[in-house]
Amino acid sequence: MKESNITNLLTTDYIYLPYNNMNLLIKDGEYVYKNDLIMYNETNKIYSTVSGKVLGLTNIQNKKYIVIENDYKDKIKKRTNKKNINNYTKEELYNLIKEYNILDNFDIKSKVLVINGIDKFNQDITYNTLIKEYTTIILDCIDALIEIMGIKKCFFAVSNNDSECINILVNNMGTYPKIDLKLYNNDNIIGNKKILINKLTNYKNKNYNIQYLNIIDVINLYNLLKKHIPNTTTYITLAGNLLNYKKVLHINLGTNLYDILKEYNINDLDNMIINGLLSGKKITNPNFIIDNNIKSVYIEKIEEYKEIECINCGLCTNICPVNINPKYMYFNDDKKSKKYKEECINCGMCSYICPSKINLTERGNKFDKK
Amino acid sequence: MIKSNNSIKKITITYLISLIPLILFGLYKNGISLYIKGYIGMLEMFKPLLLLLLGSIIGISVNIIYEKYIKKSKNNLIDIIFSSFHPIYGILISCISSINTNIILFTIITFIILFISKFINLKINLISLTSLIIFFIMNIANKFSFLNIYESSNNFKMDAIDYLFGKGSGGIFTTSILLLIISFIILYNSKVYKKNIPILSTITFTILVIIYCIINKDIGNIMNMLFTNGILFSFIYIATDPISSSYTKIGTNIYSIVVGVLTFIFYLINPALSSLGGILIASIFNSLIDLKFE
Repeated sequence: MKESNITNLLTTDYIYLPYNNMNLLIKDGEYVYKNDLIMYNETNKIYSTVSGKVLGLTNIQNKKYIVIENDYKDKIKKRTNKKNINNYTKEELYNLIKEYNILDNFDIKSKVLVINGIDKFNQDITYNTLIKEYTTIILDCIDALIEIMGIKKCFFAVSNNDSECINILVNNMGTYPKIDLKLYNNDNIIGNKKILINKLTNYKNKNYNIQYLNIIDVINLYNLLKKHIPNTTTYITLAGNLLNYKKVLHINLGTNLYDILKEYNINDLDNMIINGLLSGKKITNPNFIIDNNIKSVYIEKIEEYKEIECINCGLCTNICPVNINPKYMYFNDDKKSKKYKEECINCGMCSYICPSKINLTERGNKFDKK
Repeated sequence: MIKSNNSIKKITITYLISLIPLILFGLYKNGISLYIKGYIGMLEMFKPLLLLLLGSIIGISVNIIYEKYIKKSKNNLIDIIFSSFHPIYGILISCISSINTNIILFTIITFIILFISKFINLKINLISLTSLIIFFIMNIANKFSFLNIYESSNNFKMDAIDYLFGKGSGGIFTTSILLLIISFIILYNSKVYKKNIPILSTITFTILVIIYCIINKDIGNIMNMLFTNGILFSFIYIATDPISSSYTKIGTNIYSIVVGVLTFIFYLINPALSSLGGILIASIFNSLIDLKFE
């Protein structure tokens, strides 16, 4: 299967921005520019991802969204920035990140920078594709962050499954001596934030703050420093055994999955899986709004297995990347199991490996709902 | 979501493949070779094979009866056959059995224990339990022995090579140490196989045997203690039964050491049944071990 590069899908008819009872800055029928602040609250700011007319509130799967009709002009209010991305002070960087709400957790005092170039779900190809497509931008931005923040150590973790990606990086790394490239096999959920930080820094024993960024964060920060624009787009992997391709889509935040499926003439609505094939969620309604938390969409026919009684093999315990006991966690509901649930990263490896085909992850979710 | 190809069927097939060399040797040692030497008749030559077939048929039929007629399962026959480890239990019971085992007794006891186990969720080692009951009843009837007719009518002085090539006494398909090592290598590549159990049990048992022999100034007996009575076979195949052994990382290590120690203690009482006794007792405590030593 030939893997294509990034496909831009930024011209859907409507955009749906999550309302969440925020303070609205627009009215129905009003015209908004791309990157305009639409609503806000104490912790979050939502920007328009297209230019067009505000149609009002709508309800999709019990959530309220502000609908904007795309006029396909991508009109933006002029912002001038003549600064080089290296020429910011720590305070300016911090204020920009705060103003545009780019990162949830940004620690200006960090002395260690961890860049995650490994997809969280190991079948996804988003980060590798982005690294290949935007190598210079990514490395420039990381280098600028090292300078601005006074970073002492910077790790850049990349999957060793893609030799083309590694070659491109290795050929470019000579210009960026402060970036420490780390290659990992992505079979063990190494793309998970907690696992990666543990692996790279053994942070529990060190007395310093760590700033964690994934590749999309780095691209967003580059756009912020270069153009002073908020984050209005995201990248997702579209793949699955019912499609004869695997691609990375560049889409606006607030895009309806239905519009993506329509664009690619995908009619198989019974086999949609969001966020990876190990721990993802099967959805049946294509009216699903893409936000920052959505990393991939799979159109995948999955074989149905019948669960049988646990055979006590211990594979779930052995494979667990955070060294907890999934069997105990999912079959008990006491203090110990609650502690395990706090540590669980929901990677789905225990369910995957189980010879008895027990959906341990789903069982855990059922307990949580109780 | 997607699942790995690990299954009871795959595990059972791996066990069967690993057993093939031992089975072929057992058929030769306890059947063909005795027939050639004129110790047994033509029909008796097939006794090892008959016990093996009976073991597997009992395991399969227990699964079919329980799944199809009691649980009314609508799964296909292959799924029903491999719905639990009972077929491999039946085969392993026949492997560890003495060549002198009464076939009717073997059939009745194995069927009853395996069938009852379907209704009572006991996490104890069914292979050890069944084999021990058969041995005890056999022992009541007449003096129990692992030796075949040729071994019992001759006296041997054995060295390391003899043990490696299976001249020691033990269950029908358990005596060749060399083939056991090959079987262990095959099993070692299986994900589900708890590889640390046979390694640690053997190390523990070996250390205790060496200390015992040094204290008793009987160093010449070390190999006999280690390589006879199906002890290594039990550590490799029976102690590693997934259902009745510990499953946590530290738990399996503790369980293995307990198996090694108990086997040694039972060896001082009855060498022939030591590993089965040790494994059975250790399996009773496996849940507790997992809970305490997680």
